[in-house]
Amino acid sequence: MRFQAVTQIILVILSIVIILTIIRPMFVGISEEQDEVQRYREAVDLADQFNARLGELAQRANAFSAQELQALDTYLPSEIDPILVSRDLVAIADRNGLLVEEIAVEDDLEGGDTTASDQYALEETLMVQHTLEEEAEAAVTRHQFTIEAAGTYGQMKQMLRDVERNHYPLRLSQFEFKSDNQSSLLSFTATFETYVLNFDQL
Amino acid sequence: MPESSGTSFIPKNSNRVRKPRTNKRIYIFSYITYVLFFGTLLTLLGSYVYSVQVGKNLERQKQELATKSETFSDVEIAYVRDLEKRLLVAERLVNESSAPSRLFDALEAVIADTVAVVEFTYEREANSNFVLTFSGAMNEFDSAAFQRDLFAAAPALANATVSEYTYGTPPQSEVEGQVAGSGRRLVVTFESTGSTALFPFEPEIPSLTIEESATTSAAESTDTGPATSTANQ
Repeated sequence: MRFQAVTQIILVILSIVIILTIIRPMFVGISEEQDEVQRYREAVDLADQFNARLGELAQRANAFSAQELQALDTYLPSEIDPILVSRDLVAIADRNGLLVEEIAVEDDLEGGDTTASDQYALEETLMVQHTLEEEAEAAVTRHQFTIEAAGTYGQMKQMLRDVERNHYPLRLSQFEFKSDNQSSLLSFTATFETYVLNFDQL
Repeated sequence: MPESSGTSFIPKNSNRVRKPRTNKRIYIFSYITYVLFFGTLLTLLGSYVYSVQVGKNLERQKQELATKSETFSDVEIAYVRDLEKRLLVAERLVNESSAPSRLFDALEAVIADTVAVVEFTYEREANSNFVLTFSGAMNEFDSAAFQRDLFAAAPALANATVSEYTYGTPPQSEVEGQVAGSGRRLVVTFESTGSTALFPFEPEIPSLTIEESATTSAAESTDTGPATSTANQ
């Protein structure tokens, strides 16, 4: 009788020891592994979504012809040659019979919104995640070309029309002319902006 | 010999076997102990099996993720991201593109014959708005009021206001101009603001009508087109 009681007490103690030293830590380990499995499962789902999106975008990118990509690169290049832009402006002015008096260039202006660019730089330091749009806009720089020329009103208007139809944007940011009513020639000053998307500067 | 049933003095077998009294005590503590112990062993076994399964599942997920990660191409990702950014900015620029030259068409439609253009300025602001100032010379205040009414009637320039005006004898060099009449000249400056979206750029789409001179027209059109975009490299 006494032996039986001792055995039972030993079994109870053994059970408690097994529960505390083996089963409980095992449960904790299983719980952690399950959490990890869940995280990996979510990561796999995200990878699937990413792959799907990447495939979609790659398909979209591959759908562009070389000519279209060239046109896009022309419209928004990664670098610009101010001499050639000036040459284009003078060519447009000459074609419309205008007399170019002066052309000046102002390079590497920030993308239009200085505050936004500064904010982006600060957030970059703080490792804040940015959307693709924010990254893209932060990589835009402006280049200004100011041209002074003389010609008739019609020639001046036609030049503006031709500039608007250019293969890359030459956005009119400032324009001024004065008329003295004594001749049909007008002297005008026009400032055009063009844009560059350069990711290396980020 | 007659039987004397029921009347025998010999006691019947009174040595009946008594059933031994069994001790039927229930050992609740023993049951609990055994249940606890074997339950513990079963739980241990089950936990071990489940742990192995979870471990295998984790390994499988890791391998699956590694397999999917291997399918990413860094070069392709960089290319797609750059292209996407380029398209986003290009789309914005295209959507914001305007044709300020059409402002002149709008001005031509509303400037009265009695007004001579003296000065014109246009400035595009960062928020896709523009500020336009237009100074015109005229002889009479009635002309200024009439011109103001004309601006008010024009949809794109309806908010034009008179920002300043001067009235007096012009310098001698300007007397021979269009407005030399009474000897005095009124110069009124109108200022107007608006969105560049009022003058959107509309590409010219060539018509498909076939004419004899179509080839010639196309050639001429090409000759007078904008400069080729060789500037961007």
